[in-house]
Amino acid sequence: MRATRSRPDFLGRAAIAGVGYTSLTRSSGRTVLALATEACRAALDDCGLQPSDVNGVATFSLFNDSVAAQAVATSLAIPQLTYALDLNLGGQAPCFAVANAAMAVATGMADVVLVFRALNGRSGIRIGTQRFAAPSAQYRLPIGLTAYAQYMALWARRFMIDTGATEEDLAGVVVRQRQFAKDNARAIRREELTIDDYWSSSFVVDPFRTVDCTTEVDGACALVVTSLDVARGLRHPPVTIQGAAWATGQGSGADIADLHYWPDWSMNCQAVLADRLWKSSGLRPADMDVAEIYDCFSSTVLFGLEGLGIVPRGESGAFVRSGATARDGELPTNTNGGLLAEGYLHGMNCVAEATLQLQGRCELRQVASAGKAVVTSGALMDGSALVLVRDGA
Amino acid sequence: MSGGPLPEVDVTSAEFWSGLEHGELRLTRCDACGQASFPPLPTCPHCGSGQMHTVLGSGRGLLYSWVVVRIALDPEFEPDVPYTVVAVDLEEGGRMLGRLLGSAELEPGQQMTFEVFSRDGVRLPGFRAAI
Repeated sequence: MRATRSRPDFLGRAAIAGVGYTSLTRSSGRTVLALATEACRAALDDCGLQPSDVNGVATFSLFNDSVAAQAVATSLAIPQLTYALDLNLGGQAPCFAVANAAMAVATGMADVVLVFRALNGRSGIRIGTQRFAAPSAQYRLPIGLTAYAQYMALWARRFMIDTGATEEDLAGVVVRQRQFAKDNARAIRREELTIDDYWSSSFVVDPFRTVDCTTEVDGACALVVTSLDVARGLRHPPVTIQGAAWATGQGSGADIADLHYWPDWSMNCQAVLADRLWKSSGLRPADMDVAEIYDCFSSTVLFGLEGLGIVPRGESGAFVRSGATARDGELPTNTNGGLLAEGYLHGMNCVAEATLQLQGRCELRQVASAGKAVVTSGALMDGSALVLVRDGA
Repeated sequence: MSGGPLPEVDVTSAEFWSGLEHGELRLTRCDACGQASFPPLPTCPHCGSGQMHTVLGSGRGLLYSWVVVRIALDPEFEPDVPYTVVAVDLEEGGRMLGRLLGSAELEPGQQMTFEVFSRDGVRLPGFRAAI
């Protein structure tokens, strides 16, 4: 018997109250724990809470590239955690970790939960050139399919075959996001990118050029999740966790890069979870003011726009190229420049940017009267998403 | 000798890898639902049954997707670039990855044929565009 609810009852009861970042660099010269601690402290300062108010910490890491919840609790001198979550996941995790924090708060497991991602992703363990050691790796690595970009490119190619998307559509995503990044002091790639620059960027793995790939960075990002009631008494407008979904679709494989059993490489986890996500939130794609779509590569923005039902299949490229995802467009998307330009904090920064947009704190890149946002995490077989709503919007 | 990651063979995959030594494509087929699959798992990914047995694949399949690696993201493969990795839907069922052998203008859905190749003495799966 299935008891899964179309609207899980923790939704609408917890909110993101604060956001903290370190600077994003190519070589931090610091330990991951120092980065994690700084971002978490910044998130608490941002909303006016103290480490002693915190009793939950949630985080995620891949290939031991980060530090445990326990370590940050220690460095912040948090008296005791009643809730801790260490997920062994990558970019699938941020929305899911925030949803878990919201569950912890809504069920009374914790009052205030820090959710963070911290890594020396550039100067330390670089995901882009990691050989993902895993059960199915023996079928990939020896033939030279060794890197994340290559797995994603296989999916991008099939997406282009099935939907008619073109290299011009990939270019449209990259150029658009750079326009946002110009107005984001935190972004690691702020220089303007013209369409000609796109075409002159060299191929890494067809159909991806260098500029289609995210930029690995050192840095950390943290959020404070607490009850809506508590958040209402803090510094910024609460951003309610209104909808949430995770999906591990059938044929998800034996590990993070096991593509073999996933039947359709033109549709990722976002297409699988979309229906549940929207039902859980009681909202529809047309209600969204902002979208932050996990973009480890340019193609995944197109996957997300179509998978979530924001545009019909085959129309995402034209949607982006029409200007619909620009700041003054129909649905401003990846408003910090995305992971492509701001930097690869594995999507924790997608949730952070949505929060800042809904709180009206994005200055030059602020989307006018942004009240509702959709955020995604993950671009392959499994992943998660959130619908966030500014309190009262 | 450029080296490279060797297949980390396990109990479930041993049959596949030893098949390559004989130039054979060994797949697993489920006794319960009849579907072939790749890569081998302890149980059938289609129905969950544990009754699996080895069958010889025809080696024929259709091209599902491919990538051309222009910049090696692993130094071990620098001597190989550019090279193409193909994903092929096998006639019996199951999707398999392999190196493209020979040069070809690739089209989605085109016929491919399985062929074992050697890289630094290691026998590995490849595919050639069927003529």
